[in-house]
Amino acid sequence: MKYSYYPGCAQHGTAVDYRISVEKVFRMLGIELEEIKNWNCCGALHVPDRTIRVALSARTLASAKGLDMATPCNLCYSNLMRASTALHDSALKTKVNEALTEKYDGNTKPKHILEVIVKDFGLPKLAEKVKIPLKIKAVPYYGCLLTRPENNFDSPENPKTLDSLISTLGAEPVKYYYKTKCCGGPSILTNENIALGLARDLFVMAKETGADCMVVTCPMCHLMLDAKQEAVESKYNIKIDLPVIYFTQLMGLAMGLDPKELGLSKHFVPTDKLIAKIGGK
Amino acid sequence: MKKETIIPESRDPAFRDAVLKTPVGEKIPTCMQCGICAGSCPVSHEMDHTPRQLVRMVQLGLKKEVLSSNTIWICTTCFSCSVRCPRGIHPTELMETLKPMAIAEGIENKDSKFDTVFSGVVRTNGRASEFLLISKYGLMEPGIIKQLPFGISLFQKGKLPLSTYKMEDTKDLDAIFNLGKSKEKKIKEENNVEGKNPEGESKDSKEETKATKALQENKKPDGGVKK
Repeated sequence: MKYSYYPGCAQHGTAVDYRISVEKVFRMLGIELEEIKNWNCCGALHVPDRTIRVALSARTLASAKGLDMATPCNLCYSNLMRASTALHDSALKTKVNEALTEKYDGNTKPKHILEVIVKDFGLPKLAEKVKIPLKIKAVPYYGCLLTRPENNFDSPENPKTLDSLISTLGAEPVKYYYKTKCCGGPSILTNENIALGLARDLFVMAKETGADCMVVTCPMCHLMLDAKQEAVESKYNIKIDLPVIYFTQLMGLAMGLDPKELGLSKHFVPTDKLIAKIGGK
Repeated sequence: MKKETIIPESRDPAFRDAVLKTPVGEKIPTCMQCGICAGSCPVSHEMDHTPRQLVRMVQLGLKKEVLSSNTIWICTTCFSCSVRCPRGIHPTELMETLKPMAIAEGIENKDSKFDTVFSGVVRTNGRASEFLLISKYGLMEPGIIKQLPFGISLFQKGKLPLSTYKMEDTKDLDAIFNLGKSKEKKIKEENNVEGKNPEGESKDSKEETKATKALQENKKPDGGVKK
């Protein structure tokens, strides 16, 4: 199995722990991720002009060299998906291609790495790789942009792929009504109070489930829920202390990898208790 | 409670038509005001008009009220409304459509400034490094200095490298960013290029680069009015 790999900007900075775990886990599963040479930012949510936004993703999609394109980032994924749909408009495609050295032909399929694991690699095969069934309760948190506005693998209202993945690893995915409610991440710099309020709602609901951790698929959700958790605690005077981990880190733990190899030490919310409960090294 | 009425003079059919002509505009006339967008929106309580109200305001052509509304900037782009609307209107995409329109009308706020900084960084470097974004944005919005301890803690965790993250080759980027120039902006810039050959491609693109640089430095390329 081989994919053209679009890491996205966050993997270089705030999501360096995600990157470490993706590389380790995919290597162990024998899934090859070939990083695109000279890739560009997708524009995230901050390039207001639609044509530019579409063109940024078209340039990325055009460099896939016939492979499906995998990305670990929900923002990148949603931009690639939206651009693919927008580019069915042949006038827009022609216009965008005028700006591109390598032309977009419409043949690249964008995939989130969760989709790659669950749909392409397959959960039965993943189950064979589980060395330490996790025996914990985990909140499956999908965030917004993994499934909305469009995706090719799960429901935008009640997605279940992450739930299934958590079960496969021997853990229990708790029932979580906010699994696709916004975490506030996009407002982290410009409207911090709003962002903290949204995150608080997620935490309160997550704590009610008695879960040991929240599992995320997106660098921005992780930044908001892990790095900003303390800010939520102090603003609302509540104790949360809930580890937030990337699904690839959870996979790594179940596959018997050393937590140190998965970037867990880079988290803000300590993961020691979680690791002790799992019984890993 | 005093109820507001809409006076005919505040309506601008040309604005309504301009929105209806955009890729997201087609279904807007079919809105039946059911309010599932407002009910699904995680931040509608922070907005001065809910998404439902904003769609109605677009139908009525209330240009000034729509474009000066905080709604389009408070939206977190979560697409809950878009996947639920029974009429297939996409309110999130409508917010995205209205942003450049508001900017063209001289609206400037902390969110539009961040978008300007972000777009500028991507145009120049091709990739967004958090350090560069925060520093540039901090120059425009000194209030974010209170986030400095957070920035330091990210740095200590090795999550905020103090280097510029760049593509090896940025040659496509100017052409990509030039695709988005609105007609009005082009006209404004052509006025700016007085005496220079506006049809000469190379000069034209130089001027465009200049305009973008000015934008990155938070100057209006045409010295236009700020809100």
